[in-house]
Amino acid sequence: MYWLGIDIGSISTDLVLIDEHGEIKESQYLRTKSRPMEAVKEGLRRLGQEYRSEEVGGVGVTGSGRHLGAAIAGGDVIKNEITAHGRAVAHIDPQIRTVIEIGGQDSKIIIMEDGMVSDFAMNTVCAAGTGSFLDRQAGRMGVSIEEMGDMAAEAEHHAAIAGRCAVFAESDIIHKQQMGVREDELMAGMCHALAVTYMSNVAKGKKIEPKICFQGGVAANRGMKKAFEEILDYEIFVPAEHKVMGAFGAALLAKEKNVLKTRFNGFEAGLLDLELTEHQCNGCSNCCHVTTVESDGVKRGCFGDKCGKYSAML
Amino acid sequence: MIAAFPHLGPAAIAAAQLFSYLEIPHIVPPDNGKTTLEQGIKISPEEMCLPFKFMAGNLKAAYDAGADTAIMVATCGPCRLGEYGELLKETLQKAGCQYQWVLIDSISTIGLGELTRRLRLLTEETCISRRKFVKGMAMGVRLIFKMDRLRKRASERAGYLAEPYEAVKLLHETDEKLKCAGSFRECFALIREAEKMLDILKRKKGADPVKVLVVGEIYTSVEAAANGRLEEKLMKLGCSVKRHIDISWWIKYTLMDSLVSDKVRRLFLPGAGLADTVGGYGRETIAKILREKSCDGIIKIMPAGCMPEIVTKAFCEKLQKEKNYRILHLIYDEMSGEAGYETRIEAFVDMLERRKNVLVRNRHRLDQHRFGVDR
Repeated sequence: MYWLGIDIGSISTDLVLIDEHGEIKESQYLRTKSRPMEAVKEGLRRLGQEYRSEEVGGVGVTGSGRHLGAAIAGGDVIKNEITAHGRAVAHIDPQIRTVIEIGGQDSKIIIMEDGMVSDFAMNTVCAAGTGSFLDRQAGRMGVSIEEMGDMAAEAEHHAAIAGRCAVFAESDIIHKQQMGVREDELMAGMCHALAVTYMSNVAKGKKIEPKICFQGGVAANRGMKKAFEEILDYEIFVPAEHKVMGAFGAALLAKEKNVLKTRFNGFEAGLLDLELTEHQCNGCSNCCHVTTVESDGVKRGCFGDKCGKYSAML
Repeated sequence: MIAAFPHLGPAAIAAAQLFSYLEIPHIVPPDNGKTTLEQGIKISPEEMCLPFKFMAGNLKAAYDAGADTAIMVATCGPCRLGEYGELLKETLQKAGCQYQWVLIDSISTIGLGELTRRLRLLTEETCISRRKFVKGMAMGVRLIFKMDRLRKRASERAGYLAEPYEAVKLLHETDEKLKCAGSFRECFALIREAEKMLDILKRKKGADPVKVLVVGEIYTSVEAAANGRLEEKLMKLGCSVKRHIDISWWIKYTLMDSLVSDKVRRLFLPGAGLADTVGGYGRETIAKILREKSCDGIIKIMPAGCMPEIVTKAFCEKLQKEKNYRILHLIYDEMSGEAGYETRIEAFVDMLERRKNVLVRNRHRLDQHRFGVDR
């Protein structure tokens, strides 16, 4: 028996299959490319080539697109990212006390205690401390994000970059380039600026204790790991599954819930022709925009309503 | 004269009933929503807090619909150095709303004489007897108390129901019915009926829900549109929700304010660490936290830029560290990302739930975790 975990994020969509022992059997890391529906379907199709739908005992969905994911694949557990990440970390190593998670568009800190989440924080309305900043700068400099991380990790010094605002940081980088600062030092500077912004925006007021785990898409960047190690003065642990921790956690949550009959729609859902329709409900002053997911005239899911008038019906 | 007043949770419903009872023509502005906020933002200074923008939007909408007298409870508290009401007056005047204003400030700041002079404006123009006026006021206050009691009971009960959603639905339906009710008597009957309905909702056997205390700035607490319907969200997640700060609390508090001086009142606040009032109801927020007998976590809400609550936040951080309280701070702003709030609220509830489930096997540790219980 397997359990499926799906994490639909802004940059990537990940799918993970775990077995009875909670070990990862198969994982898929796909770029969302602003088409979450397509990414989920693609992932399901890929997994469907090797596994049969009957082998799946439960599905957990997480990430900002969790409701959409649940409408497509069916979800036994629909949980937020913090709970999912916390669950995965507790499974990998209960000794971990601090989790630094930096994704494409949001960053979080999770404080763990006895293998349970005890406190957390998320970035609010600013992208200066997230992966999209690095992504954008790497693109502007014409190097891939992986190359950039390696260059940053090997630089001897880091240039001082004003990283509080992502837009002003870019102006500062351009200025430093014009001053003739070496490219690798600039990249190390960017990583450092991102880490500093993270520490002052997200981790503000939180007590950071080892063991520290660094995960999310940005954790693959060696330059970032080095920058955090410099700032925190602790060794930082990057788990091998760092990219798919959310999906892994969702799968573990689904396994934990242990439902008798799963709501999984089968890997065939990857072949469905789905249609999204949006309408405004005028039932009250909230005027919610309600999204309905349909395929071949069958309603598969509803979300976006604040009161639950539509989503509670399914 | 056509009266108008801004929304403030159940107070708007009671005010509408009161004006109908006194036979004063009035306009209830459309319920708070996106349009209200958009209108409010357009006419208010940018740095103002969210409640101000909502109220400005309400009064603008009412003016456009034909109202000419604005009635507002301003109390002359320390918000904007006591000029909150005056500022609203100015803002609307600049936007071209030529209102006649009745600002109801607390007796301790303007004195009883001035207050009655201001209120006389209402009675004079409409030739209502003083007796009828007082009676109407009393019924209005009674209605507010009853509505708050229903809300409190339903939100605390939600976690114990087989379907917590039923409690949310009941509150919603009752609210809609009250808005259309024709008289005070009808309102009271509706609330009685709702209370009966609440009692017969199916309970879950052996339920031990997560108990969440909601504290924070009063407008944001009372007006669901200003806090993204936080309480409903919590109820739907199966929590038992408590909120002590509401209009009925405020009425009692303000009455006490004019009878008892601050020095005496301070004696009743347990060692809050805040000797002086920090404006708004900041000190009271802390008193509510410290007095709470049993809850798993606290959600503290405030509008962006609310000075009193910023001071309180610093104090809460101290409590978080020293006493291991679990507090989630949520700041509401017009530029809100719905998804971010949802994630945080859900994660907070999950966190409390998981802790509780683990600790429940160990009762004395749970009691320590549920702070407020004698240690």
